[in-house]
Amino acid sequence: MNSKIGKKMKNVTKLMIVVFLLSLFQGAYAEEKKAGGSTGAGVNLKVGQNFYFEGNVVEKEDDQKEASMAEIKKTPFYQTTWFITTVSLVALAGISTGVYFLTANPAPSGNVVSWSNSAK
Amino acid sequence: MNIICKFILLIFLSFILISCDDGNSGNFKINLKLPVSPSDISITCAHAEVKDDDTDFDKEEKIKKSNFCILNGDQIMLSIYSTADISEDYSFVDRKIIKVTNNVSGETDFVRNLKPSRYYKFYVEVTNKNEKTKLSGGAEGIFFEDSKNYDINLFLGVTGDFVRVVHNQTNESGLKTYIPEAGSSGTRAVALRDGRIFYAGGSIYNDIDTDTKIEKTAQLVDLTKMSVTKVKDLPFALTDFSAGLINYVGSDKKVSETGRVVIAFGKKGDSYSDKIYLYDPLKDSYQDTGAAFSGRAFPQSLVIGGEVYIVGGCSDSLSLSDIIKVDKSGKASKIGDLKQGRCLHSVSELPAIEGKTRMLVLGGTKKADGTDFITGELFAEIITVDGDNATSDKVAIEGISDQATLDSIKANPTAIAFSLASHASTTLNWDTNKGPSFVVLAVGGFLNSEGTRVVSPSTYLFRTNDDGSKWIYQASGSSFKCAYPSLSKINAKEYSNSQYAVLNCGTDKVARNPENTLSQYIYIMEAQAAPGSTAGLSYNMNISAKNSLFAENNDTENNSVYLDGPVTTNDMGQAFVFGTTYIYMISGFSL
Repeated sequence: MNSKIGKKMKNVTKLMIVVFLLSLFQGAYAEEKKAGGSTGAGVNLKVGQNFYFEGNVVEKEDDQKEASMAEIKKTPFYQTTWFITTVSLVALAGISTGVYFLTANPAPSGNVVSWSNSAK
Repeated sequence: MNIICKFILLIFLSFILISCDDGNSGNFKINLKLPVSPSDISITCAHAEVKDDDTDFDKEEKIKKSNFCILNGDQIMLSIYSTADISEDYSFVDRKIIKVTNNVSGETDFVRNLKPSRYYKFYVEVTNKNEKTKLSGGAEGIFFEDSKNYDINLFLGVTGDFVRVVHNQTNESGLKTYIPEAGSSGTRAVALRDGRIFYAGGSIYNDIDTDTKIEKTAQLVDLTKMSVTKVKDLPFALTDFSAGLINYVGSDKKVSETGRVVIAFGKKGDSYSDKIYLYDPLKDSYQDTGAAFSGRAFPQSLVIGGEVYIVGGCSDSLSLSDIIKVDKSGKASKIGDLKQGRCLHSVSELPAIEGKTRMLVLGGTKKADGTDFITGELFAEIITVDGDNATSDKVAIEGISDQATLDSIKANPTAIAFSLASHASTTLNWDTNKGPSFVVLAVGGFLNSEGTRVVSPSTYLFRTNDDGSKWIYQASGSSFKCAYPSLSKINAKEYSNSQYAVLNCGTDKVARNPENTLSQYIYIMEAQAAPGSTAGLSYNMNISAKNSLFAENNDTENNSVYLDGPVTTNDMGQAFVFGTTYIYMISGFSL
């Protein structure tokens, strides 16, 4: 029984590692990209994206609009690499711990002697 | 930065993986298995504790029953031994004493100090409130690896008595062998070094078809798994062969964990086997040693120092005198001859002199059908082995007046020649100042009484006087008759006046008639030494059969006898007796 649970746990953990390794080939959700124009570094949100927001609108020429938006739009904290990584780590740790305690032996059983008088 | 985060995550996951392995391996669980008590006791273990207000009858019944239970106030002593090299003796590691606090069940930790890559032996003794050992058993040859979990059974037998080996107390049917519930014969059994028991062959009687067939089936009993497993068949159907265990050492100098079983000669049907095979339990295979001898049945095997000696045997026309040694490499070679070829004889180990192995050969016949007894001066021989050479010399035994010379028998034709065949013998040894250094106990068999074969009514004890200058024998009357018995020593307590051997009685008829339906009788023979007053003999000896907790020393739930069921003893001094269908264990009095 113990070895079966241990094997199951190993498989779950191995699966998690495989998922993790695959993620190495994927970009993070809020990965920084080079701006589309020549306006330099910064988040270059395109018009129509959900995060588009402008305040204190000042009329500008159309060709200046994207650059302006990039300047105005600061990346929200929940889209930052640090935030997502931290949340991911916490979530993974939680999941892993949960899986561990759900599938592993209740506690290492150590060396045990047991006996039972069965009624006859 | 992302890479660093992912690296940290990878380490985190790896840590979990490693911790999973650490937490779930290296655990060792020992399940103590209890035997079934005699069926005439209906008290359950839960109610077996004796109370002051019990009637005398209830007290007596409860005391009997309590021998089969672990009860409140008992103590369980678990002793742990280990060795790095299976060819070496085990050394003591640790001991745990557990106090039992109820009549139902219990579980407790024992010290976590098992080291990986070592062989372990566990021995359990259960003592009652009066510190009398009532249950004992062990398991050995367990190779411990930290990466595995272990869950083993340890079957406890009643000390100095027989119990049927059962899965648990509610499953009375027990472990079943291929030997049916009727009078079979000719199977041989050997305890392996890892505690398993190999048994094979035999002449199997089917009482429905009233037919007898020779078997080639082989099985292994594993008490740590409480299982009986069929293994590879013998090379051919075989009965009345001999079997012993060598401590096999391969060409790479590696010592086998199990040893190898030497299967020598035997009857194949209308012919006799001239082969000596080695069975390797690890590979489940048989290897022909290639040795060339005459075919024969009823040879006798004796294991001394991890080597097997095969002595004698008969075919229809020949009584063979070969003394064959199978050494630890598995090489079988003839090392000498008896003075008289024989079968249905016994061979027992004697104390070595100047490092030379010695054996006592007693009685037997010149024909495989148990006729033509060997009497007179050739009745007994002593084999002395010096390296790869053996010599055998006849030995006179005082008190057997007609055994001195054949001429003396001729001179006194009315004398009954001392004769004994088909008996079983074993050597018993005492600690210094507690008894003679050795005696050879010979039980059962049949003898020649004025031309008629009768089952021996006596138990014999052969020994020398104190200075070893002469051999004497002592006969004691027996209340039982065992025509084809098997006998094997079990462990006695240290510095005990008594030594013990288990007797698997078999049929009480000279004819090995498969329709014999006697019950399975098992006796624990006790040889007790007491300071003697006879000149030249420091000890007087008394031989008796102990009363079993089973009424009349038989298993009432096995009412058909194994005509000549085998018995084998493992390294822990526990004997295993084969009846029809069932296996019985007899626990020694100590490890």
